[in-house]
Amino acid sequence: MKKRILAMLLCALMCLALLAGCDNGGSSAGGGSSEAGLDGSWPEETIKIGMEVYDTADDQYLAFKDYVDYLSEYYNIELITSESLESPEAEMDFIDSCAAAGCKAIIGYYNLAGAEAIKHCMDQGMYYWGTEQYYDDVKNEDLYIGCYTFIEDGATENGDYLGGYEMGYQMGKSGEVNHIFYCSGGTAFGVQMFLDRQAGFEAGIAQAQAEGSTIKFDPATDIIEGWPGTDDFTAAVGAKLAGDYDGAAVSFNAAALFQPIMEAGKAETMHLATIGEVGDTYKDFMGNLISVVVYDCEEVVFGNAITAILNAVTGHNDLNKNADGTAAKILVNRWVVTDVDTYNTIYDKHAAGEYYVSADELSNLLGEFNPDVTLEDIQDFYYSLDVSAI
Amino acid sequence: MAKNILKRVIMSLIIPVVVYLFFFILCNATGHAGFGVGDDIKTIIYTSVFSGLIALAMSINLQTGRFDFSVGATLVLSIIIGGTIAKDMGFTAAGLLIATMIAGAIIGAISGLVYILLGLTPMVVSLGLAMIYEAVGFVFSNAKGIRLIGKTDMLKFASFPNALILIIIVVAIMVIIMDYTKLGYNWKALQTGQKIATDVGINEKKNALICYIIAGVLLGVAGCVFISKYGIVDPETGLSSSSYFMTAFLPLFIGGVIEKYSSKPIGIFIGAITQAFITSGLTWLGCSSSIITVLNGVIVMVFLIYSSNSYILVEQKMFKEKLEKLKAKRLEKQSGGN
Repeated sequence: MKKRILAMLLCALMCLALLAGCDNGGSSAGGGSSEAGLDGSWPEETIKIGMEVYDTADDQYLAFKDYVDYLSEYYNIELITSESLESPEAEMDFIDSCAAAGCKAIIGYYNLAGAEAIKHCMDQGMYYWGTEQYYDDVKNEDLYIGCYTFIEDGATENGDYLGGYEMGYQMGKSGEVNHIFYCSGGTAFGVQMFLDRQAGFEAGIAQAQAEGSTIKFDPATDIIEGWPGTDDFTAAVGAKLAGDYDGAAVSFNAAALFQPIMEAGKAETMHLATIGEVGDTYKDFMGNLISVVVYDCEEVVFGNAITAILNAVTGHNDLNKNADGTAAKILVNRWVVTDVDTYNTIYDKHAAGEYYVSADELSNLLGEFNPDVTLEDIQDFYYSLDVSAI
Repeated sequence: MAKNILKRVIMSLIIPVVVYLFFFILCNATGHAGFGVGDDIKTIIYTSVFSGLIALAMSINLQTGRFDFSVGATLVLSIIIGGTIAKDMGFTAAGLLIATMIAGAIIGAISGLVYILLGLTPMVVSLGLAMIYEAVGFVFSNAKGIRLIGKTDMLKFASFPNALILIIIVVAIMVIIMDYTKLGYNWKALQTGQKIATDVGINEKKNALICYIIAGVLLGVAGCVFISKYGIVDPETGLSSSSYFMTAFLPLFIGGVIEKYSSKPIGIFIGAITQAFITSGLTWLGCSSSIITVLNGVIVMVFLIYSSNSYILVEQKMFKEKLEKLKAKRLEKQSGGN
């Protein structure tokens, strides 16, 4: 008799557990799930994601890593990042390592081997997200799940060009800068990203001048190549700061110029523009030394990779595909921050562990949680996130 | 005696003086006034101090056949650890300098001990250590490096005249160590013939350990100068810290030429000043970074070719003198015979 009662109790407990499980899933699938419902146990199997990185100390990469850490409290995901990749061989080795570690997808945050890396990834059964410049080579592949883009339909410039353009245009338009120099980073070494940024910067200056700006910039004399730490960079910055310049645009981390500017006694008169992060580095300098930060918001620009990957691995890869079957691009906005209040608003939100794409909002973009969601919904959502809307 | 000293001074300073005058005239003639005067002198002093310190640190081990690949990683790690401690403890500039020197000394001691205990080729050991130091710096700073921007009470050693005073003290100490101590004599003996030196009782391992510690201290000082200039040091990964010692080669080779007339540390610092003149001059002339890199490479090559073949000139001069003496003797004999 006791055994029967015990068996009945056990059956009842099992039924309750099953019902509890159904209840949990039911509420989530209904869309609009709360963060409390996302406890990090979905998907059942941990989704390991590899990420190719060019500099593991880079602020943007670290900010994105923080965002994924935040998401991993709500979703069962794990990020495996590369070392600072320096060669196509190292990139291929990393992809092999990811496959061996059981990764389901790779985020192409950096790409040295081009379309070969993407194909190598797909050959091993992993999804690949990112790297717009090789989109045409792989867009028809099932395992290629798209990328972000800053480029509106019909435009030809790439994201780096547009970033450089914003720096030049905003500095010209501000009316506060008379003579500007540009730190080009890797242009002299033929790094495409820096070449595009410089071309964009020159076009932005030209546009501002065409609209009436009197800003002076001569590409023959007003460009500093290379990075801090080298003698020629130090000498070039010293020579420029000794001149009549009152503005500088930096295609990499502008923090390296703060101290030299202060030492030169130009902290009150110099205006800096940079492509960078909203984070600790520029916090104390926004509004005085820093005038413009061209910012790629991590949860918007790169965060859509997680949406695409979660949809792909849970059987909703159709949400990553256009009607013709090609991989979808997610059009996102580059945030041009030109005032302290906006900077601090973004900074404070991130510092509080909150994001413009929360775990809850992300669940609405997942087919598993919201069966009604479409690719257009995902694209509209990410495109709606602009600095003017925050 | 006085003539000899004057000759040594002239020969030691002739290279930087000629380089300075060359660029000063060229820059002014081409309408690029500004080289070598005013603020540019401060920049030249900073670059010569920074690259001079790295070159000094490299020379200690390089001259005795130990190429240390971890020079850049040691520099970065010493400033990350020393700078973080100084920042947390609220130190001033002197405290920062001492903290980075101690950090550098400890890292140098570790490098030396690993080299001695493993007994492997220095290049292999230092390559491994460079990767470890980079990783430690990365983890220690949580990938953020160190930022002291705006802390002007801590960042004093890149500005004039502090940087100049610092390098004069460092070079003076190095001259005493290298030219007037047992350690320096042993170092020179090991430099010219390790087998003979160890056979006569010089402890190579002890000498190597002390050399690594001194190099670590110098790199700590270099790190302090670097952060005083930029206020920021990012951690390096993937052996990218090696870029820090790329500018040390020209001062090393120029120092090798000049040391005949003065002392190795003085020669290296004069080499660093010469390199700073070249870099600044080319910058004022509007040369791009890549052109400067190419020209620096060419100059290093020229110095290498000269220093490797300078004995030929000495030999030729010696043969010529001997020939003249023989001719004179023969003429003397002939005239005596007649």
